[in-house]
Amino acid sequence: MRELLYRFRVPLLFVALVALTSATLAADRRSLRTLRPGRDDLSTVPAALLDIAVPLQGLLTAPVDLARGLVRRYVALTGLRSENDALRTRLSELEDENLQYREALLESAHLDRIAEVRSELELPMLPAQVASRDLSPWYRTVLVDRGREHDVRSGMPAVTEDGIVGLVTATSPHAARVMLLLDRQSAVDVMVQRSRVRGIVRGLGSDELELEYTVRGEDVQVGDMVITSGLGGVYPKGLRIGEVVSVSAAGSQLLQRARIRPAVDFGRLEQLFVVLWRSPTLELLSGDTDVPGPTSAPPRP
Amino acid sequence: MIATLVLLVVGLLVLVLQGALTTFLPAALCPDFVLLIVIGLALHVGGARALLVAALLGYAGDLLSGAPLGEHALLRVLAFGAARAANRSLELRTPIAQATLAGVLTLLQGVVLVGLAWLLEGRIPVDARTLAWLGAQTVLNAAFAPGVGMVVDAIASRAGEEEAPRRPVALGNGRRAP
Repeated sequence: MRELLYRFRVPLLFVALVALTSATLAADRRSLRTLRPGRDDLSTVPAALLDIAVPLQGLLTAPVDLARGLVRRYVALTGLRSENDALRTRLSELEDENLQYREALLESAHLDRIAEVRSELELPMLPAQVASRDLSPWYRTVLVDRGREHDVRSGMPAVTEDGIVGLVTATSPHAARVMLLLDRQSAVDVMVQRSRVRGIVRGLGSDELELEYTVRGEDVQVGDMVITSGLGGVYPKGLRIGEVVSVSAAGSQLLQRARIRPAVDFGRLEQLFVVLWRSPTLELLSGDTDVPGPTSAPPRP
Repeated sequence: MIATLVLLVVGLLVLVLQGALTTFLPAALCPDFVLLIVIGLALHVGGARALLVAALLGYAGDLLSGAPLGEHALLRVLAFGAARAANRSLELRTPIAQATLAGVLTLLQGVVLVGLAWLLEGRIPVDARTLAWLGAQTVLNAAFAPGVGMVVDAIASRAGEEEAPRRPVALGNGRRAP
C-alpha cells in the first residue's frame, strides 16, 4: 500500500492540490458582500509576504524611475547640440531653471487641489505610493505602501485629488491592497450631481464604469458629473466618480444605463490618499473602535 | 531539495519583479514569468516538490493580486499538470516546442479564468481589451518560455534536482550474449 502511494504520489498530490485550491477559491469568493471589516487583515504569513514584496517593488522601480528621468533629460537637451558651447550651457541652465519653476507651479497646483479636497472632506487622509498593479486584466487592484501600522484598515476609501480610486480590501502591517473602482467586483452608491438621480456605479474591468439602476427617462445627460451619495455604507458623500459619456436604454427596458469616464486617470496612478475613515455601518460591523470614524475623526492636519 | 527551495525563492522574487514591472509597463506587455517558471518546473524538474512549489507560487500570486485566494494556485497546479502530461507524450525539450506549449497554456489559462468567473460570478468577462491582452500575453509568454526554461533547467541541474532519468531501454535483439 505504502509503495503504491509512493508510486502515485505526484498524481495524488496533484488531485489533492486541485481539490484544496478549488475549495479555497469557492470559500474566498471576493465580493463587496463578503467584505469583513477588521477581519480582512491578512494573517502572519501572507502579511509578511506583502510586507516584503511592497518595499522590494519600490526598490526595483527606483532605478527605472531614475533612468527614465535621465532619458527625459537627455531627450530634452538633444535639440541644443547645434548651438555653440556657451549658449548651450546657458540655455541648459535656463531650461533646468524653467523646468524647476514649472514643476514647482504644477506641484503647487497639485497641492492646492489636494488641500481643496481635504477641506471638502474634512477627514484625515494618508498619502500612499502605488507599489504594484494586477498583471491580469480580470482584476483591477493595486498594492500600496501603507498598512495597519499607519492606521489603514479594510473598508477605507482611497482617493486622489481628482476623485475616488477605490477601497482598501486587505491590509498587512506595512502594506495594503486597494480594489480599484474599475474592478468588476466594485459597486458604489452614487448620484448625478446636477439632477440628484441615484444609481449604482459598477466596474467593468475595462477603463470605463457603468451607471446602473436608474429608471428610464430619469434626468441623466452626457457630461453630468457623478458623485458618491454616501448611502452605500462605504464611501463618504460628495466624492467625484466620473463624467457621463453616454446614456442608453435598449428596447422596452425599464432601466437605463450610462457609461462613465472615471475622474481618476488610473493609467497614471502613482500616488493616492487613504481616507482614514470608515462608514458607521462598517464601524458597527467591525467593532474596531480604534479606527478614526466620523465621530472620532481628529481635526484635519 | 536545495534546488526546489532556490526555485521557490527565485519564483517569489520574479513575482515581486513582475508586480513592479506593471507600474511602468502596460500589464499586457509584461510576460507571465511565474507561469513560465511553473512550465519550466514541470518540464525540467518534475516530481512532488516541484508541484508544491508551483502551488505555493500560485498562492503567493493570489496574495499579491486582487484575485480570490486559490485562483492562481489552481491555475498553476493545472498548468503544471498539463505541462507534465504534454511532456509524457511529446518531445518538449526544443525551444519551439516549449514556446508553443507556453502559448497554448496561456490561452488555456485564459479559458479557465473565464470559466471560473462564470461559475463564481455568473458572467463571462470577455471583451476586446481582454482578448487583446490574452493575445499579447500568448505571444510574449511563447517568446520568453525557452529562456526561462533554460534558467530553470540550469538551476535544477546545478543543484542536482532534475528528476531521475528515464530507465534506459536495451536495444538488443533479445538473445542473450554467449
